[in-house]
Amino acid sequence: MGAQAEAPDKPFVMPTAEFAEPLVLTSKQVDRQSFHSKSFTPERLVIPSIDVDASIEAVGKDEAGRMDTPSEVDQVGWYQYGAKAGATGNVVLSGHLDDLNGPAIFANLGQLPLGEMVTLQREGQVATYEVVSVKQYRLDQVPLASIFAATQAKRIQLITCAGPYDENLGYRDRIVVTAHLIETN
Amino acid sequence: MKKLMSLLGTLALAFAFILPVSADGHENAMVRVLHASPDAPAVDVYVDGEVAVEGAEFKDLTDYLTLPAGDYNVEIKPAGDAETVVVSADLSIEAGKFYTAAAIGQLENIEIAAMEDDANFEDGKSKVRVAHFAPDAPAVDVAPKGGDPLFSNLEFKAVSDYGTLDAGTYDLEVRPAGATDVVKALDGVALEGGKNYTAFAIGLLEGEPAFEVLLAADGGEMAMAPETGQGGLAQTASMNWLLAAAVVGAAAAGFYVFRRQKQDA
Repeated sequence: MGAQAEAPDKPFVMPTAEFAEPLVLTSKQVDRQSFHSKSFTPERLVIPSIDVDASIEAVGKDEAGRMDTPSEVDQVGWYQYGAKAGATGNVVLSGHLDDLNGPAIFANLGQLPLGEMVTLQREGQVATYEVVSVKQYRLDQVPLASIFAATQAKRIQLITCAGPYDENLGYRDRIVVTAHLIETN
Repeated sequence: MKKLMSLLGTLALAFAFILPVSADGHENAMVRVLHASPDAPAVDVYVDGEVAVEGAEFKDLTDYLTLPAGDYNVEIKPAGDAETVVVSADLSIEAGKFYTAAAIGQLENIEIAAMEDDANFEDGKSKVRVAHFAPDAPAVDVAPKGGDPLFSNLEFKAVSDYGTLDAGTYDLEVRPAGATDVVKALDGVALEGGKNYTAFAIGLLEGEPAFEVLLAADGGEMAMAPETGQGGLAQTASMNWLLAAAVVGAAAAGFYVFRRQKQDA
């Protein structure tokens, strides 16, 4: 720059631009980060090893602030304020252990072995999870933050009742099964 | 733009209001920890001298930890080295609220930045903020692709206020403040209605680990555990047990014991 300014005797030449290379920034030059994910609202829960193949009902919270349960005991409730299938976060599902007469959809949830596969499905979309923990807690010891709060993990939390039953207090315990996302198709 | 609530070794979140806190001791706050110091090793996080997080590496954002509301000392130590304190901070946390404590800056200037996470949700809307935790990056704007900035002139250590967007999928750009060239294109940022997010800009523009954006959902619509049983199995189970006891008793004593359930009901 300085050299040009000190060469007044050089005749003025109109500067020209080369257009062989585009002057605009192309998208290829930009460092890109994709946030696209293949998440979906689940419609079926399938756990082959305990014979669960259930339709899913979206649920919220009841008047007492508890996660709601599905209206039918052979269905599973999906917590609509949590994560979708395949997404980052907690996908929370509740199912009944029993009804007044006998076993319901999650009667055998506590027997689910570690490493078993759990899938969430919807119209050709499948999110597959692997069971990493099966735990039983007293109701007041259930780790609510791990189940309901935001997380960077991609996991499902399956919840049902367990332990002794009291006519007034209901079941004393809850079983929480946690499974991590393996793949989404 | 808003400066971090606090910086440097000691910090205390100051609250404008003294809210009534329930006396039953069950009122908890939620705290998570982000390792955003690009050249710091894996760390352990101690809360009041007890290890709470082990082996967090750069870019790790822990789950929320449940802690009773109150005042805490948070110490960050190299993983497995209980003797060396890398940085520490005092935190005051309030019942029912969510917080993120982040270790930021390069190791020689490492600090703990604490912020409250918005856990009040709006149907069909997403509340979003940006935290600039990339120590060598200039002040930045964050804008929709080719559009006007949603967040302007955020410098290193700055955490924006939350802005409200319609739920949807956005292509966003990180740009040097006031400029139109693009530092980073963020494609397909899906913001779900009724959820809030923080976009943490972390890493290094020059060198490794590279600059990137960590998008995290904040807070969470908490609920209590569902009521998932009506006792049908319990009745069956106890009757089975009674029958088994009766059979065993009969076998042992040579006669049959008949019992009715809930005889005293």
